Amino acid sequence: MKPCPAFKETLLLDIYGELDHDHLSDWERHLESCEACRREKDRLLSMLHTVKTGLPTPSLSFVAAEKISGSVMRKLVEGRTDARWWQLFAGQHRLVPALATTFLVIAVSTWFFLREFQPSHPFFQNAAHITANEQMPIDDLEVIKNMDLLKEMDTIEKLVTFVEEPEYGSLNDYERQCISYG
Amino acid sequence: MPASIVDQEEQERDAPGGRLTMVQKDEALVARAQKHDQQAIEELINRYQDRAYAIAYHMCSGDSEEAQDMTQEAFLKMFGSIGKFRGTSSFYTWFYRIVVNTCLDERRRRRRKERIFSFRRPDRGNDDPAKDVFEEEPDRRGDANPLDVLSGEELGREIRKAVQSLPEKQRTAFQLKVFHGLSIREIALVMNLAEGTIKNHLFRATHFMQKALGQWMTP
Ligand SMILES: [Zn+2]
Repeated sequence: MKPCPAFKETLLLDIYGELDHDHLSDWERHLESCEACRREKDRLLSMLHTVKTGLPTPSLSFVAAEKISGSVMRKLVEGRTDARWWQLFAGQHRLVPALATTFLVIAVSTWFFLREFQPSHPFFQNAAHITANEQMPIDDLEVIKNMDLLKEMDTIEKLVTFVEEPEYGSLNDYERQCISYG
Repeated sequence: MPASIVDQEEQERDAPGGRLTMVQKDEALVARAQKHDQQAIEELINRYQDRAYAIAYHMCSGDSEEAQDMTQEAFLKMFGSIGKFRGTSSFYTWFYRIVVNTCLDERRRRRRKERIFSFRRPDRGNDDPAKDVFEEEPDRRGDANPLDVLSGEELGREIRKAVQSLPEKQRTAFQLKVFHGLSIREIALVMNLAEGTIKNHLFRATHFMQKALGQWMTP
């Protein structure tokens, strides 16, 4: 036996306690005379009761409740602190264009500086000079370093030449005359 | 089981010396919480954490740990946007909407994750997803004999399976009505849908549940 289709919605509103007062008396009168609707109402109420008792809602334990409220409060305080820092920065919004300009100037200067990174620039020329000096052949450097020694050697050579002068050696005629007549 | 909104409102109105209704008390607390009054924030948490947890518990398929996480997240979301709450609806329907959406988002996120990784563990398909969470159910056995216990656990599993197989909106409407005692109007506000739509979802869910649990009903 099926419930009356005309009372389908009324039946469902009734089992959920949502039927308004105006319709309630009509519905109750119908229930008295209609066994199918009465049985369907009982079946649905029984089902809802089974669902409610079959899946009870456990209450939150004291420990779990404390944990949740403590955690929420802590995170809210942390969040507000972070927000304050952010506001502190965000409050200086008038400085933002100035900061942006500074960064832009630094970026452009760096770009030009790198673009000029060529040996033709005086700065790099000096650097190139130093580099060339550093790369001078080792032999040449040795010559410069030993210049004094070479000079000394030259003097010694002259002295030796003078001391070891043969009897008729290198003395010129004038000198020889001086010795002869002297 | 937490009392329904209507029950609690009546209790507060009838309480000795209690002049403010639940909604009025909420409004006062919310106004203070919007000014970062710590005491008001704490009071709102204490006032709503049981009910938020109860909603989350059923929406999270009875996973107590997850329900606690969802409750916490919902509170953080709520306090994060409490400044925007203008009181056009009552606070509790606004907050319950946050709880419901937080749970639904988590559920969808998990579904996506499961879908992505399902190919890696095909043997999991035979497992009963309700089994693990069912073991965390509160003990409702009392002094019943072992046959009744088995029947009770089996019944609980069947009910959960039936509820979980409902489409999302039907399931949410059904849970808010049956487990939390919200009125159709309140559910409509929580789910941001028309009352007629909620009725429709609720009635479809009711018929589905009746068919699914037919064998457990007394003839
Ligand atoms: Zn009838």
